[in-house]
Amino acid sequence: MSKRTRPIYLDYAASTPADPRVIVRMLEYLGPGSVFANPGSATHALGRAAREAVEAARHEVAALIGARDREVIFTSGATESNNLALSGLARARRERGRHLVSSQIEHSSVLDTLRSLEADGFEVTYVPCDRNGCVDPEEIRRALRSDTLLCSVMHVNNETGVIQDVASIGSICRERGIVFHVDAVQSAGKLPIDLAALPVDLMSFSGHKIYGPKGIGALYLRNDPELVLEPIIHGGGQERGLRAGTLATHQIVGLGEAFRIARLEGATDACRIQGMRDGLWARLRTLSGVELNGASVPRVCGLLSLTFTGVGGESLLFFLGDLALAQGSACASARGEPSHVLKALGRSDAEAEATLRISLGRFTTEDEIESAAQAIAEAYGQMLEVAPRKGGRMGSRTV
Amino acid sequence: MKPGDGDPVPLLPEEGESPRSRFERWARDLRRAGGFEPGLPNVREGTAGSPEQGSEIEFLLEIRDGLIARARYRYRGGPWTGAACAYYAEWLEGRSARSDIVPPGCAVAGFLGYPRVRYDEALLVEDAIIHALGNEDRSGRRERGGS
Repeated sequence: MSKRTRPIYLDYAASTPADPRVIVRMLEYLGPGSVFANPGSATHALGRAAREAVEAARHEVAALIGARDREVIFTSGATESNNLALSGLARARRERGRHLVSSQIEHSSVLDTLRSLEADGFEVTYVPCDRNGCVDPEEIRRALRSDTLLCSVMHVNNETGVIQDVASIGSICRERGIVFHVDAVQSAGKLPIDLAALPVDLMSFSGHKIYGPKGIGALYLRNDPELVLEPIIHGGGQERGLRAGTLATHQIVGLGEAFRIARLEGATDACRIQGMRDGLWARLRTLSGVELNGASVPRVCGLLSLTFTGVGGESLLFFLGDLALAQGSACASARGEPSHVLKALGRSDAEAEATLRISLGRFTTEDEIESAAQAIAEAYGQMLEVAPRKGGRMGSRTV
Repeated sequence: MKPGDGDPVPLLPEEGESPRSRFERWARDLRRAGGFEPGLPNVREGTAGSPEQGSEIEFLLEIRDGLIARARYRYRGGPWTGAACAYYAEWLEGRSARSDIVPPGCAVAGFLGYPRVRYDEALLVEDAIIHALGNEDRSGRRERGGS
């Protein structure tokens, strides 16, 4: 592959660029001469204009997900949304019970919040997934107890792209009167979400996974009946007292524009992106030793989780320097633990290390996919060529 | 001729690079990756690592008249493993087939600018080479000598 001035970006599941239309809208609320005023300043026209922009953005977010405007709370991102949903609900209802249910394959912002709650006296049941990465709703049903306060299951897994059956899980929770939270970071704008029909009580969203800016997100909070959460940030009473802090007008407007574009163009985007993803997989599946995780279950349109058996994932990434993609193992340190998601799917440490996540998005082109397929095939072939011929343990010192 | 045979850890020239550039250059250098032609005599083979350790190395050394005529390797692991293999392979060719002159993995890792958590990958490569030098050749004979 010829050297490009920029890598081919295939890491949309980690972050998307802001859509140029989003940036244009944000600039209207940022600099001198813009509507930069504090949306809490009701005493002057600029403040009121900023408030109107915030509420218009709230309406756009609500419109994409079939919610009412007052059910949308702005946060700094999905991590905060997940923290507020889980911690806020559990602490507000701690007198009613101490048990929570989730899955083993949630994002760290959910798992770490649950661990924090465990340290605070709550008990959590982590339901496993099957080899395809699916959480069985019946496993969730079996995990529920009379003192269960909340269940949290992500809509689309961020490493495999596998879509969970949140409708069935939500119905089970609703039968039992248990609050159901869904992390929808990887599904918003890619899959239809209608919270008027979906039995979900809390749902988390991120700006920078849907072509909006970083540093902004939202939490859907069902208002029928209104759920009470204990705030985790205290201050000026913004967002109905649930999330204090001056509203970041430009970020919120950007988020609203991103959701508006997703509402109008998301289905078309998804169709085109899925076509490219399938084309890429059609090319790569001809390589012996490449396995698609979640191959036989529904997956979101733009993501491939591929295990390249027999080679080192880090070396493969190294030789794919012209591609910006992610290793399946989400390592927090230079040599972190293998991905908990891939391990939950039954992958060995070596297989998890040799797994790459390729995620496409709105600005991916057919030409990029062609170049990426060729580069991956060449690099994998090269790595296999230099791999040891013998299997099994080799003598060495303990390091 | 390579200088310093027998001296303490003579490393290859730096070529005025930053440690990162040096690492990348060696990690991309696959000239000596692979094996020898089948049936070649006087080849010693050493291995190290395991899938569980995340790195596996096979080092192959062709010995002639007590010298390492050619070095080849195969590896599975990170680019740090690959860089150490490539570096050692170049360093070894033309030197005495003695394990006591092989540069320690730590020295090679430092020279190539590895982060501390990656030093073990160079140590494993060193292990494979030491094992190769201590092994009989593939025909069952042990090359005698040292010049």
